[in-house]
Amino acid sequence: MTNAISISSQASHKAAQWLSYSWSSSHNASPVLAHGALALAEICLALNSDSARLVETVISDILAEDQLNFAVADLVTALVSAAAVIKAGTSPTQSSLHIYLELLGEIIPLSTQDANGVIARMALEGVTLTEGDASAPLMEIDLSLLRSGRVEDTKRVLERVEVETRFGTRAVRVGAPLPELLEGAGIHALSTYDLPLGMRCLRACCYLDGESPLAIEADFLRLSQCNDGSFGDFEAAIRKMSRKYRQSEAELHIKLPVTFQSLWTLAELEDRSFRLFRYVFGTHGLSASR
Amino acid sequence: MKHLFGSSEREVLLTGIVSWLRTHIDSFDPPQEDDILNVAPEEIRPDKRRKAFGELGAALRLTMRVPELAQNPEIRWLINEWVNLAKRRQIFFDVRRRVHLFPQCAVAYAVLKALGHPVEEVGQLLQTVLNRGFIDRVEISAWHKLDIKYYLDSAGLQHGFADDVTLLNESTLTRLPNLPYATTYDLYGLTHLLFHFSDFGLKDLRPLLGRHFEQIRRYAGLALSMCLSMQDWDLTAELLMSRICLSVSDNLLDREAAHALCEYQQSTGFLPGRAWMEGTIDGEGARDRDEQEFFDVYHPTLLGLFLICCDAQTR
Repeated sequence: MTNAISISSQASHKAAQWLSYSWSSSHNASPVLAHGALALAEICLALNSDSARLVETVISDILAEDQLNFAVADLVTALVSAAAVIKAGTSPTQSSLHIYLELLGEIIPLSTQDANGVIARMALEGVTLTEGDASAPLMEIDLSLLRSGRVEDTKRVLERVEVETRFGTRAVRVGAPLPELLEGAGIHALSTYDLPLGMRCLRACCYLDGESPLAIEADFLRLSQCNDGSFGDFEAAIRKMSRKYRQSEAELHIKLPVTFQSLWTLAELEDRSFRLFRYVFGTHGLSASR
Repeated sequence: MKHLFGSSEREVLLTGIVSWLRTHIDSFDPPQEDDILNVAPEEIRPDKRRKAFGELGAALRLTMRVPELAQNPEIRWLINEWVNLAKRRQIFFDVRRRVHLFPQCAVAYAVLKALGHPVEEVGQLLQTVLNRGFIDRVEISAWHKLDIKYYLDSAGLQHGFADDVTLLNESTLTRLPNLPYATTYDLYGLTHLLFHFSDFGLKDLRPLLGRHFEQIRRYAGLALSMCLSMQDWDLTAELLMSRICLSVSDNLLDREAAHALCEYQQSTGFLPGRAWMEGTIDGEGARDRDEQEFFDVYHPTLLGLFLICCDAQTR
């Protein structure tokens, strides 16, 4: 996906500019931030090849510092940052990455029944797309979970969708009104500014229903991009966090994951053939890329 | 067209609602208007008791459109009680000067007419107030204008409110607020406009809404699924009615929402409001708590009755 005029492509170039500037302003950032920055760099490259110059500097700075620790990042961030490290070629980090990937299969059971297991399996074994047809498995979910008023119930439904569809790479058949209910849950989450939950709902909607326009939600995300290229309006949260961290570091802590997820979601909403994990892990997985 | 509720589901919902209304009829009792003599008439404002009484009347008015409901002995009882309360409490007392009570008096007058108890002299009083040239000339939203206009038309009173096309163009229906930013107030605006433009589902909205029709249908569906996620049963019922007004039928999302309403109906028959769901009803003493609970749950419960009427009359 390198269409320079698409919305997610333009948004990612702006995000790359923010990353480049913010990273150069931060000093001795923690491994968690380093992984977040690498993951964001990787998705920026995926969405807009013109961002290469901006993000390659960030990647080489991080690798030169040799500050990575894959175990401290969340699984998605660790694995997407791993892809960035592998693409960058030789670095001192390669050996720790090698150990991490070897341990991954042992740490996380490669179960196909939980989301982390599915992600780990896709990272190690690669991703293939399964087109939908009448023989696709029928997914049945207790719809009352989406009106129980409990966020953990919504997350249970999301995990089922992510697992069953392998994050949108395997077609399933699903009956109405599950996609509509998930979309409603997503808008509810966005309206309370729970962006990670809202975006996760929207991606799940894409995995279930390739036709639904989700235009209101795409607009919401597009207009959540700040002038500097980062996503989300978190002035108060950053100010509060600045009591503990430096301002620049506080901003990275809050905005790196949200910006990463915003680009991921915008891209999957905009181009229904784009799947982040397929792009990042390829058809043979990260192990084969080393 | 299929009904929104299965027959046994509908029976349980209706029986529970009517039973709860009967048990709580005293809580709908409005103030004794001719006892309020020490306040300047122009300063008397509508309060929650008057509002609840008017809304009960509006719901009962709609039952008259469904023969099965109009003949239901429990509903007949409620209608008699409502009419008796209206007379006993002198609800139209001094209406020519109690201008803030005019909208509620107009609703009550239209309700009495629909229930077969017209009070002709009140019609003349209300018409005089309208003829004074201010009720239909105030700066209020298209939603609130249409709310009043609908009941004035229903009562056969003459007014100067704009026609439906003009009100539509002044309203948010042609430019709905983006849903993640929409407030509950915005959504009540949407639902009330649809109720009254369509006469609670009797009039096809396609000719009026034109190119906006499909977009509004989709918006109302998305808002409905959002309200389900929020467990907002008041707006869920309002939006389900709106979907009927928009001629949506045989829809699985709507069936799911109707099913959720039945599921959350409490054993005494009421549908919970927002405070009840959040567990924030905490008055001092049982009496205070009961009153808080009443004012939280009566509206969604009445909407359950409205919804049953709309569902029955349009199919």
